[in-house]
Amino acid sequence: MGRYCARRLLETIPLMLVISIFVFMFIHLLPGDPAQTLAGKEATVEEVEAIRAEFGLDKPLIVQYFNYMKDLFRGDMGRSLKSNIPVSELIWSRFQFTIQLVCAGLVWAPFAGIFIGVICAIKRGTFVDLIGMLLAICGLSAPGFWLGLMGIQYFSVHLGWFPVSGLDSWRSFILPSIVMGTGIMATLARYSRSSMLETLREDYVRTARAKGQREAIVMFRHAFKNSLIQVVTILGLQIGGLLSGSVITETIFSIPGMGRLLVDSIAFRDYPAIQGLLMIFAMQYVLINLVVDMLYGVINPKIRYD
Amino acid sequence: MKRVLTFLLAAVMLLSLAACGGNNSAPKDNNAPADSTAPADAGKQTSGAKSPDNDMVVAVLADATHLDPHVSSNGASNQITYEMYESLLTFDENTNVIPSLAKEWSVSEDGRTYTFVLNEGIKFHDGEPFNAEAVKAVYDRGLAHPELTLTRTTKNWVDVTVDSEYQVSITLDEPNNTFINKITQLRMVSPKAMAMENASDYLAKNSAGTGAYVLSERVDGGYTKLVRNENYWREGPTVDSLTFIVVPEDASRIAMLQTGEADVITPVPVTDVGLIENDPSIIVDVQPATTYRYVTLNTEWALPDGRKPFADQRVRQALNYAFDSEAYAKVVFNGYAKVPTSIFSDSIFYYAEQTPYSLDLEKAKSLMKEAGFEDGFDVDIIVDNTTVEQKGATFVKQQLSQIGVNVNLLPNESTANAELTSAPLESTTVQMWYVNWSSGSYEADGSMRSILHGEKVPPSGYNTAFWNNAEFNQLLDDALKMSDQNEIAQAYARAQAIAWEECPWIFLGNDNTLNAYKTYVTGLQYMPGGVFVFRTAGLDR
Repeated sequence: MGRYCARRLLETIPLMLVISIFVFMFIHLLPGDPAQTLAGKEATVEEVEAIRAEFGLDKPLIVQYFNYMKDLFRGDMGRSLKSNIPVSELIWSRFQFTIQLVCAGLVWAPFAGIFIGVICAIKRGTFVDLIGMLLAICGLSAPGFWLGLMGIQYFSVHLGWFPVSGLDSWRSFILPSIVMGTGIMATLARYSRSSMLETLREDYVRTARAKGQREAIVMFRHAFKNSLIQVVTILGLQIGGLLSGSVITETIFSIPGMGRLLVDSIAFRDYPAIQGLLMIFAMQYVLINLVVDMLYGVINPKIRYD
Repeated sequence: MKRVLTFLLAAVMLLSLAACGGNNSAPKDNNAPADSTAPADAGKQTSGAKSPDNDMVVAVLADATHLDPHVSSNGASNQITYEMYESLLTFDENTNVIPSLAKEWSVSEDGRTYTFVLNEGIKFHDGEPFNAEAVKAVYDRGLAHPELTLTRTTKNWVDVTVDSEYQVSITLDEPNNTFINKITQLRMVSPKAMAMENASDYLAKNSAGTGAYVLSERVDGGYTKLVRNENYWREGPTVDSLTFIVVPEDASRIAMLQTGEADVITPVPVTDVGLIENDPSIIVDVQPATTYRYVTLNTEWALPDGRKPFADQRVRQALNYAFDSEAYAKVVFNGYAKVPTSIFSDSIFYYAEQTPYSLDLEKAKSLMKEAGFEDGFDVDIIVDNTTVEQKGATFVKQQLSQIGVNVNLLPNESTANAELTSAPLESTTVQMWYVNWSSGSYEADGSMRSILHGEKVPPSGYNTAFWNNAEFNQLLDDALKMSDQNEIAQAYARAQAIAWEECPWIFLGNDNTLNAYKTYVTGLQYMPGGVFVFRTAGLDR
């Protein structure tokens, strides 16, 4: 297992290199000039040139790329063109908000989603199944911004239960947590239901029943555990998406997370910040996939890492 | 099963209605002052509400880019640094120049040397004394760092002389009537802080001004908290702290004011003002702004057949006669904009009123016919891709279609448009540009030169009309060196009349700014350039 992990981590190095080249190329393909934006509308040509020279934007692209990579290997992600803050410091400060938001969503949504899915599968075709799947469809179709704004209007403005913005008390986590988690809950409910239904049709479930095992044991030891592999894969992808920042939740609840940083940086053409963020996002996906692969072995010990 | 479905749907709808209920979400009253210059307080009923604490919270649309007042920055940075740093002179709420760190000033006979007598006993936040040497240190910082924005103010200075500890003289390369207005934008920073190796980094996290507030903490993209300067040199604020929270979502900003999480919000989107204007605990404040909206007409742009429609003054005038500015103010800004009566806002110095181009389709069509364009033509307009900008450009498209001009909208991010509009004549693709301009220092030159002077065609400026009128250029250049107020006023009035007659633009309108605050907020002032003055603000408890 240790060797497998090490190999997987080593494999990410060339992957990250390729990603860095693509990211660098694409962000420089975008129309727009950060020096112009930074200088402001009343800037003279000389001022724009001075800014371009100060940030090394006047050098050929290939030179800019190698300078960037050279610094990156020394652990320096450059400085934000917009705020002049080191990109690593900027991302770290935003990451703390994003991770709080992600945790707020994950604290309930996966459990609720899997619970609903499993119960719906067991009670397939009944009233419970209908209600569960209706909830899932509503959760999938309710856009985050609608849910957030409705929540703010009803629970913050009318009832005064929760604050509108920030993440500084347990109350302030409730609404963002609902907005962040609803989609995950709904997706996982759908997947775990279908995965569970598939597993219930397997021969080993029939065998277990034929052996006269109690229904609860059949369901949870044989069916549920095996149905989890698919669910964990989906959950991993969902978490990866959340960690890249949820622009909508962050915008509505005024939380300075990574999603808003990315959008602001793109609008400003803040090259070092965009580059840094995209590299971090790619890295997060790689790591989450690794964790998911590890979890397969925990769920089903027959899976080996050779 | 159907019953269950019906029940659930009804529940969802009820929840939605409950959430919307209680708010006056009816369309805005279109009788709002479209052409009034008087600030209106739409909801001046006081509810007798008291502030629960002594901490002022302001919800703003965008975050500051940098807190070093000498680095290029956006409006949000300007607002925050304004509370921490002061200038030799400043503006009052009627845009008159008044003393600040300097108590008096005089100008030499040749109009080149300005002498300032400074207030004594003032200290920067880091304890350094404010004196003539400190003023010189700011000039020196600009010399050492040409990339800093402060050089825009100091570029025509040739010398700064320390006459005594509290008297300083600034000499210009030639007389310049904008100097006094521009010096209001030059913030004084502690020489000790500026001398640091990484001064900008230090100033991003610490304040080193003389202002009424001191920087306490900041989360980039989140909030900036300032606390009262206990050693302030004159009567200061009564609030303990002043926090600017970044709330990009309009509806959230409004909700924060409704719940009292924010005491002040800026701006209030014109489309959402109906939500709060009848709330007795909230004052909606409509203020004149210096933002002026227009569409540039590239006078050098040629149709595929080689004809240049915008080179003909009659075509440019026809577009203005075909454009209904009153309807524009109502449709795009819910009435919170003014009909244009010159080429810049009436809040700007030396504004001279012109006769508006009122809607006259017959005249517009006959001018088009005279110019040989009775069948109209197709033209592209570039516009920033925000909702309100696109709505405005769509309105322009609809208006011009009445005289056969078929406008094609090309919405882009503002950064992409900035690149397009900085292309020189040989390579420009800009035919029309839906844009706005404002001058933070309220000067006429700053409201015209960069966008209309013949030498300010891209990439040197934003004259994307490529309009070049020799008399206009000369008037601007001459006025800059004049010192007699009447002569300056005459020159600028003539310049405005020329541009108004020649129509290098379609003149669209002049925004109002909408801010809102709780009734318990006291002493808040707002400058037309877009800055609140929190030095005098308080919270009624």
